[in-house]
Amino acid sequence: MKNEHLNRREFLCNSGKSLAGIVVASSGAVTLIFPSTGWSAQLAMLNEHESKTLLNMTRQLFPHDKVEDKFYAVVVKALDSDAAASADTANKLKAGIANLDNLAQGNWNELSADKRGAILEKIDSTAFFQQVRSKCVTGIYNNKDLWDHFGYEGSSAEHGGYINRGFDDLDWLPNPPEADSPKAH
Amino acid sequence: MAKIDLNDNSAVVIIGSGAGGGTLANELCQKGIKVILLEAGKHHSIADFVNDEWPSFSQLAWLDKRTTSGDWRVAKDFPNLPAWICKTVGGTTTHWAGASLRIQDHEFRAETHYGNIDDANLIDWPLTLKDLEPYYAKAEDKMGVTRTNGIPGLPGNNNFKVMHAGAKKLGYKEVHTGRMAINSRPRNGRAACQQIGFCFQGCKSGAKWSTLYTEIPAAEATGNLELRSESHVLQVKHDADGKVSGVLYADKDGNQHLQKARIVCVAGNSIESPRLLLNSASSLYPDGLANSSGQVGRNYMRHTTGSVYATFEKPVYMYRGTTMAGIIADENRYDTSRGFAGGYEMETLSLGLPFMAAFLDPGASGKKFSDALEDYDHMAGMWIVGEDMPQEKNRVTLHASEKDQHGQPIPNVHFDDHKNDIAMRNHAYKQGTMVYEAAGAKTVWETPPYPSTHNLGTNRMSTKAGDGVCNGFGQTHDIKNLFISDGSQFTTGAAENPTLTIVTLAIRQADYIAEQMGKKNI
Repeated sequence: MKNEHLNRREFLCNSGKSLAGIVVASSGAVTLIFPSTGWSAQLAMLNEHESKTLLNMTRQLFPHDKVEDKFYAVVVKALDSDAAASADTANKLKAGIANLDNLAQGNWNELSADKRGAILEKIDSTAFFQQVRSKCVTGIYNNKDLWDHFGYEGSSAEHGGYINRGFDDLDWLPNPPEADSPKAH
Repeated sequence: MAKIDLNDNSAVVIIGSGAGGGTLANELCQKGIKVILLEAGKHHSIADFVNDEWPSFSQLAWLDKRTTSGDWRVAKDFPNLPAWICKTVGGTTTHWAGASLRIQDHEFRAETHYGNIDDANLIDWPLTLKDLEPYYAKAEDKMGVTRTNGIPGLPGNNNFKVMHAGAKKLGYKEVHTGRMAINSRPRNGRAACQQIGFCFQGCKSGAKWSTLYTEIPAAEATGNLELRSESHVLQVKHDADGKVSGVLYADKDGNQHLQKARIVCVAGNSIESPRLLLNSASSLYPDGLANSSGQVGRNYMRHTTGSVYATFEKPVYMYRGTTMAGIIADENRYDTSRGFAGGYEMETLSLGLPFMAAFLDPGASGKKFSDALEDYDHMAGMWIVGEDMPQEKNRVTLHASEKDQHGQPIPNVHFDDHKNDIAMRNHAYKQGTMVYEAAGAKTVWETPPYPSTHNLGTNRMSTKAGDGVCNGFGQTHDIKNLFISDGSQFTTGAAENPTLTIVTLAIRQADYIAEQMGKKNI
């Protein structure tokens, strides 16, 4: 099914925005791939400054205080892989990062969070911004290692669904009458 | 399973195996009529389904390229994904949520009842609720719809509890766990619902009705059906007299075959069905098959939709249990004092975390958005589904230059919201917000429409041949052995989820086809 595969890839590329890609990180591998320091040395295309900039940018776009840097680094790694696969993508990423520094009149990373945010707002309609943003949507929220943090339990069929595991365990509102919501049979 | 030769011209060829095509195939086979069911997608089983949103989407969704235009927000957010429908045996019945509501009497007479609405191409259906009632009853029994045929309603989940509490505080009366084609107890060889929470990804317990594991195997058991999966129909062919004579399709390797037919029934959903008729243009039918009215592809409807999500101080876990767990039906009435014609339903909905991130506010980022997802397990949600106005300019057309993997022009889907649609959506957002605020919401999100799941109207039924594509039995006005068998035959959209009516029309159409075959009229 070579044709179908190509078409799917084309669809995903062309659909842009939030449907732009399916992720990257396989469950459980995050810590192995990204020890707390020195991870940027493993990147193929992005230098240390560029990877640090993207790391700060991804966190600033989707801030979750209790989510460790290594999870944002998964997104940077995925962008690096895209850059390795396409010279055009690599150029766009590098140019986008350089533009952040231009707008910062120095190193964007060294500005205050507010100033960094103001610059991101200026570029939020650029292809660079959307590329990073859409990669975050899948890279952060489709990362199974983070689902517990968000209270999402994932696949349930193998556990017998939720019929006996709390599908109706909410107790801070009145229960509907049986006519509206019958008991399970 | 039957094996029917390519040159055998005695069978009925049905294109598409979803709610319309899959049901029609079974109904015809039960009457002893030979059927070839062509499905573009693969033949998966329940065991193949995955409780994982992105991989499931890749497995089931129709991903062939499409383009969009118009002022609808889907064109901006998902320019190559106008619809979230399926390419797999069973079609979108693998993905649907199961809501099974009858269209209301007045909704079949939209032109008469709503009067003249500027820029709306309204006509009445060429049939009435009374005509359909016996067939609705058969469909509800076949599908095992809760709250019909003595079948109990499903138990409400946490998401429903939140909606119910808010709705009752607001004074809504008709709030319950809905009429769902999901078994609340074992029935017809299918299990009871396990509250798995992945209705959209294919039901792993088989509790939800899908043609994949009901109609299609039942049809195969008669010995009258040949199902050919990964068989993508490119053109419907006709003879010198103008009657359809067969279909040209590509198999999984891209090899093309011509299957002869006595009757052809098109059931590829409201984008592919008109696209196929348009792609079948010939010297005899230069504007496409069954298109003397010029209405093929026009009057595209997709329901006035939107969602309301809200976060609460305490946990909800809305994703546990049935995706569409309950309904508020009070707003489905005709009441122009609200500022629009037609009505809408409010139905609970949940998305898993991966899709919530993609759909809650497409294109968004920043702290407010992140904070909402940080509260994901404290979130409740509902979907709005209401009647949108048919407009001639909202249409499926062939792309001027882009071709698919088989060399056929891809479809473009154009949609502009009608002012009635916008007024209805804004009203529904306001009511949905009030429901959740009454239940104690911290924050409320008005989520824009997802890619369309209810695609309707592009080969509509009409009394007069000049107003539409087919008659009240789905038989095209121009070609008597060519039928429309999916939601594209809907004359208007009504407020209700369309699957039950698609199945109902398919059962009725099977009776008509058998009768016409018996009389040698076709």
